[in-house]
Amino acid sequence: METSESLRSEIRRGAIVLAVLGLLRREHYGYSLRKALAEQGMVVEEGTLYPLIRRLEQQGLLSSEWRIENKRRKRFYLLSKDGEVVFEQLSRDWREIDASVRALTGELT
Amino acid sequence: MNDLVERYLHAVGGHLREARRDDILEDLRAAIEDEIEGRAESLHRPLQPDELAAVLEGFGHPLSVARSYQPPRYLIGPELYPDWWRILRLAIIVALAIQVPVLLIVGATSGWVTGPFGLLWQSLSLAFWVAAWVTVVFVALEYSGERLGWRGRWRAAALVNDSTGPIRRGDVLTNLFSEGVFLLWWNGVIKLDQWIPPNTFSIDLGAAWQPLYWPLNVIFGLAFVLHLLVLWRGVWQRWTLVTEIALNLTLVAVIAYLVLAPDLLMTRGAPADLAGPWLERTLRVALLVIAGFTLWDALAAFRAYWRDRNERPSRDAVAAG
Repeated sequence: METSESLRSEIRRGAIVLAVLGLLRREHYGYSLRKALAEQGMVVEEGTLYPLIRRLEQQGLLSSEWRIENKRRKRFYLLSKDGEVVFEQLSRDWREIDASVRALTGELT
Repeated sequence: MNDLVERYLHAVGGHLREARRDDILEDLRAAIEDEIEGRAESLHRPLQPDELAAVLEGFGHPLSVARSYQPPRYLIGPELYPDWWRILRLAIIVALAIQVPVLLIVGATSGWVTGPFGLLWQSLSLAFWVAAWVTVVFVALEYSGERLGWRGRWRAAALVNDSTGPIRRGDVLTNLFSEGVFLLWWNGVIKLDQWIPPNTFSIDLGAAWQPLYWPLNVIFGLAFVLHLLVLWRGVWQRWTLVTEIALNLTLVAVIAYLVLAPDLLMTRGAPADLAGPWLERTLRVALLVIAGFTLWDALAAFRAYWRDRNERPSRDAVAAG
């Protein structure tokens, strides 16, 4: 079962990056992003999501801005120009892989 | 801010580098506040202490959180690890292949001062230091970002053109051992006659050996370098097989010359004079046995070479097909 968990985790890792980039085409702060992911069935732990957002920002795929909202400082994230290019690339790759895997596993028949 | 959250941030901060600590903690603080506020909004009330603890547990152990905010760090990372392991083993084998025979011979000729445990301890000590230095070099490579490029330059064609088969490590090490010992003895670094009491008798090599000083140095020196190279690469190649055959046949020719030469030994003193003819005969028989083994090695190398040469067309056909 440990192997199964490890394989699932590998598949999810790439999917989470794509999902986060996709959602951040619109501005989000940390909690709203996590909630939006969960609403679409992708539950991501806090310990995974926040370091990931930070890493994507350091890679130049996201831009961020501190703003006061409801009397509290929040950090809002948005897809950068480079991020948009990478997101388009990854989306294309994802669709191709999805089509191949569906064909290979017989789901199209 | 809740005391528990402050304690949590303090614990995470303890595992972060100072240069980035404030920045990361500010980020983490905002993330935790987001979570607390969001969950309170959905419950329409402030969080209870156990619910607050659950938020922090969702972020994970402070050490894991600190690690996840930093790039992965290794002493020797996965890219360099295979090179490190390969070179580490080879360096230890070569170091011990040189040191152990020397220690054995020094022990046998000058008395076993240290005993077997001393020999074991010196060998372990050498292996440890070799491993430590190889590791230090690789850690430096890891941190400098340098990579060894030899695996990237590998081409599949080398399997056909270059390599005729994996080595038998035991055979190559035996060769290295015997060649190393011979070279040390032949050049006077180690002496095998120290057990003879002074002013009693002596056994020396006869005049027939004198013209062979440089030829034997060249043959055994080349063989030592060749076997080190083969051990390093882990495979026999065509050119190394050809060199092995040539060296072995040359050595057989030298041995044939010696077996046919008169007076291989010069003995002085009563016991040696008595045993002289027996020693002479024993040495000639020993040389013939060595010639037999050497011819066998040459034959094995020739068979490996011939097999590779004959298999080449069929491999090419498979590749072409």
